[in-house]
Amino acid sequence: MNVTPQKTKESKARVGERPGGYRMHLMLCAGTGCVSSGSYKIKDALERELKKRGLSSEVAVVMTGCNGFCAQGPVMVVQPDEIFYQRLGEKDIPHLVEEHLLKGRPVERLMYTPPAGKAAVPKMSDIGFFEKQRLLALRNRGLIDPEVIDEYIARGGYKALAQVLTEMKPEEVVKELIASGLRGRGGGGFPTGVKWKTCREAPGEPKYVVCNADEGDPGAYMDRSIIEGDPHSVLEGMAIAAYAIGSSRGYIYIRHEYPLATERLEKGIADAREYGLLGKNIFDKGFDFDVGIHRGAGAFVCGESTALMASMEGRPGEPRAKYIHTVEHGLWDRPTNLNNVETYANVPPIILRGAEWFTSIGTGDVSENPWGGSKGTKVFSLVGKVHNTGLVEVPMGISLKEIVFDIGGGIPNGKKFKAVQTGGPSGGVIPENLLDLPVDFDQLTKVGSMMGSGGMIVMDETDCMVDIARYFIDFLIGESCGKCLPCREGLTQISALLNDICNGEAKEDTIELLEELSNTVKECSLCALGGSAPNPVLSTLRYFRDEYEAHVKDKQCPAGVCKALITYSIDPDKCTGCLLCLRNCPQDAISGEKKKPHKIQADLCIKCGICRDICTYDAVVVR
Amino acid sequence: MTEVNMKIDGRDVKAEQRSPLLGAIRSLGIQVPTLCHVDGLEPYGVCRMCIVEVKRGKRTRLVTSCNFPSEEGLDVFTDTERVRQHRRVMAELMLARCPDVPGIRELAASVGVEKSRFKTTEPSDCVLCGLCVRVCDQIVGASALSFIDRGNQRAVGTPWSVDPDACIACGACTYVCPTGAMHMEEQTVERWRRELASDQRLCRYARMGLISYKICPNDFRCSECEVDQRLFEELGTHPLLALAPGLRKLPKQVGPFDVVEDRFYSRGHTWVKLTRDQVRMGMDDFARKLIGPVEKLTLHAKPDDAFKPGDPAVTVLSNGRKATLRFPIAGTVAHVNQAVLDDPALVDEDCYERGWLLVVRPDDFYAQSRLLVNRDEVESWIEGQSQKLAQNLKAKGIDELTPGFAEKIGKEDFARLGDEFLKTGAESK
Ligand SMILES: Cc1cc2nc3c(=O)[nH]c(=O)nc-3n(C[C@H](O)[C@H](O)[C@H](O)COP(=O)(O)O)c2cc1C
Ligand code: SF4
Ligand code: SF4
Ligand code: SF4
Ligand code: SF4
Ligand code: FES
Ligand code: FES
Repeated sequence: MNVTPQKTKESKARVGERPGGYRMHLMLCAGTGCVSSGSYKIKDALERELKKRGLSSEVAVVMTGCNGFCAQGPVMVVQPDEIFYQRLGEKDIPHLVEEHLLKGRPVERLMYTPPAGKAAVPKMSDIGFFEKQRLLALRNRGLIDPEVIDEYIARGGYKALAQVLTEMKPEEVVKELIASGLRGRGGGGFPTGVKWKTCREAPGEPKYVVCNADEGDPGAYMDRSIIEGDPHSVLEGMAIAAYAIGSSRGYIYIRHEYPLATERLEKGIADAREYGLLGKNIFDKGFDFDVGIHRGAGAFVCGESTALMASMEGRPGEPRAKYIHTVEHGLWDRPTNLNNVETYANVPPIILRGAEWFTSIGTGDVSENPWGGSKGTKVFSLVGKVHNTGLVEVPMGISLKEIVFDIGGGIPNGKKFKAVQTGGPSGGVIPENLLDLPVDFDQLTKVGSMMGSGGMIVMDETDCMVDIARYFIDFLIGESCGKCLPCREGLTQISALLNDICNGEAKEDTIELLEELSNTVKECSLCALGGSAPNPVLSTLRYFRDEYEAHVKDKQCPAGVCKALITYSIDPDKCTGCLLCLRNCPQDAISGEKKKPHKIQADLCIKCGICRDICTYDAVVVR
Repeated sequence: MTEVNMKIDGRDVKAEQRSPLLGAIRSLGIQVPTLCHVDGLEPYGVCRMCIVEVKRGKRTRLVTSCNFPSEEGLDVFTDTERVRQHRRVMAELMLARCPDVPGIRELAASVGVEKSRFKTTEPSDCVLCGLCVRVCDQIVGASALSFIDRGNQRAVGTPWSVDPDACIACGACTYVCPTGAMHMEEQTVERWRRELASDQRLCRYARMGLISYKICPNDFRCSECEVDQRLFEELGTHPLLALAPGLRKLPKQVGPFDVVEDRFYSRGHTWVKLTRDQVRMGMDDFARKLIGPVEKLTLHAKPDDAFKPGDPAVTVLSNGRKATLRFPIAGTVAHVNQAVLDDPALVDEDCYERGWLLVVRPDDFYAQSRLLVNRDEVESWIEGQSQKLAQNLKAKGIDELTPGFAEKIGKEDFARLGDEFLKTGAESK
């Protein structure tokens, strides 16, 4: 069956009018997070209960992609009222069906309650976490069943592809993309339209369109979530790119550890083929395009463009010098357009609503220069020491403060905010006095960090900045391909210097040497992994130098993290002599009698922290 | 081929578009430290020692010269403080990895580093330059070596860590290894000694097709073998490297003379070619043709002799006439080409490659090279020399510079021409 452009244009876009004539839809999250916290058990329970109550023909359960608020999973949104339920358990279901679905009384107990507030917030869009978000790439989040192509089409899907094929010349598509100011969401922030133009004009046939779904940042899952929740948005974006640059072959390079996303893509591709949206002569316009899936080799560095292509060609996934660009000499030496998942997902709305609309969101001015600003939105994975962790899509230019405090709900346990690290493992940390910074490509780079693919880790006063830098460097050591000297040997030596600092073995000049070495690794490495790897060190040196100096000169770790530099003791004024720590110390290092202040014997203490965690009176002091 | 104009350290230079910058840099006699590069292999760009700054428009960036493509209008700086600083830190990193390797110590010393501020945890001999892996793949074609593991666990091994049947014991990997860590061919000949009957023990060069069929009489002790030594001496490098396609620049014809544009020329018609940190010397085609078929060569310096410009280097005997070519630069002799002394006809066959005469360690080659004819100037210079010689000979009734013209020149005229063109007189420097 062929979807005609006509038919796609007619399709309805409101959820209330989802196919099937149900009175209510239970949009239950089937993202990786909620699946692992049991959303399929909830699904079964719901269906059982609906059947029992005779509601099966009135209320439908729809399994959606990730909703973003993963920490609260399994989550479910009841449409059309948009009531948000979280942390659902099987035993909650009969009550919920009875109260809400039958009697029309939403269940407060299962709703979200903000950390400071008392009252539960029923509507999803009133929850702080969702309020400031703006969904473009995730426009269908929680609204469709990603495995049903009709639902994508019903929400305006493939309309943009129809439009470019029937009404636009490839050059016009490229022009529209340049005018939109869309910049690559995979890290580099390169203007997408400019890349398409270069690829279009590069000599050589055939040309390839490749989607980078390698997503190697630990803890980041923006791309996985887009693919799991809305695979067709990526396929449609790729098809439009292919038309614009003159390609008929696409590949998706997907991370090996993403089985669910891969499955959804496979189904999506098969369905699109069946509907004539992929394959030969799409929309009868003589345009051919098909997509294949390539499973990643499983290393962080394989996400780098030249390494990715080497890996696709069956060679070791190692970067090469990029003095000759992959848009001209890419996969099998042919012109190749590589974009990130989120970049492609942004393309259909730009086509449908126009570049002008897109440029109204974001910062700067891209009318003269595509590098002149950051337009549209960006998806971030917000993790670390914040109340609301999860996946958020926000307009470019939003301040860090709004993300951390309004969306993230601030720092838990009454602790103080210290810094936020953006851009994945090789991003930089940004301190409190820069919290008003508008988040966009250029501002983040200016303060020594980067957009990266959108990781965002919040840290509080109990995080030691030297230890944090060491943590990231140690991750990157394991991910470096080891080809070039500065990255391979340099990161190893950076780690050794950081270890010296954390262990109190650093010399007076260690900090300067660390800085000198970090600069060399940054400037001289072959690829951007080594080129950005020292960012965690350089940015913490820039904003938290006093903390480094305290480690080196005073042999102290102000955050109380570096074991060699801290001692545990008990504050006799706070200790009630409850014996709890004494019983739990694995070293028997604590002595004392009931109702008398206890004491820690320093030579036995291994600084495991159990006593501090267990003490109800906050009497254990770390210095 | 398109030529582009660039500036390197303020000097104008032409280069083939997209050819690696390093070639243009060396053509000016400027030495840039390199470790992971040898001519003829695809550039790899991993040691990062060859970094230079390039400026295009307002933007200055740091790039590796061994693989950065030449472009019109580039402004290149090979020795800025930024470049020197990074080279020093990288030399320290290398030293921390390979503290006991003489080649690495030398390279570090050449950028001013004697000692590393970084700790050595596990000293290694291999600096992971990848030359062995690449030579075996790209030139030998055997692909018997590969990298194993990644990050700081990376090492050179054989694919899947098995004893590779692929190795043909050519020794090219050992030859290019800058640290002496590689000895793959020894493992292979060890296996041959075990497995092959003596009538199957084909000489390794016969296996490579470089000599005709020959059974090894030496139990594969190549370093003591005449065959091996003859080939190395004749070719001046590892035989496979010398003969690999793409390695040799083809000579260009200028009138009746051949020139190759990858080297410098002295006003006395010797050539000087920069290799990693030494230079090779020989006589050019003009000298060879003016002198005539070489009957005997006498070198005036032996290894470790120091010389200065104008000191006699070699005396050539032809048709009973003698011409003494002189050193164009100052330095110390490193090796002499024994093959060409034994068989002077090599000069007539191939004066630019196999007929080389000496390898020397120059004193500050960069400064000295400014007095030499560079590859951009050589064509017009030889053309001028050729016209001047033609006029000179015409006065003596020799009309054309046809092959063998030298034999028509009388003894007296020969001395005068030698003095004028080959600067054979002691006072001409
Ligand atoms: C070490 C390293 C890892 C990378 N990993 C990814 C990745 O997982 N996904 C991605 O889209 N881009 C990644 N990139 C960026 C890609 O090289 C490339 O710039 C990007 O895919 C281009 O698409 P865009 O222009 O749409 O951003 C990585 C880059 C580096 C240096
Ligand atoms: S910078 Fe690191 S990851 Fe990139 S090529 Fe060099 S060693 Fe490999
Ligand atoms: S000796 Fe063996 S491993 Fe070494 S280059 Fe020759 S074939 Fe390759
Ligand atoms: S063995 Fe030698 S040639 Fe091979 S990578 Fe190591 S140092 Fe380089
Ligand atoms: S020892 Fe001589 S004859 Fe034998 S293999 Fe080596 S080079 Fe050939
Ligand atoms: S997986 Fe369910 S909200 Fe992310
Ligand atoms: S010689 Fe250029 S990077 Fe090694």
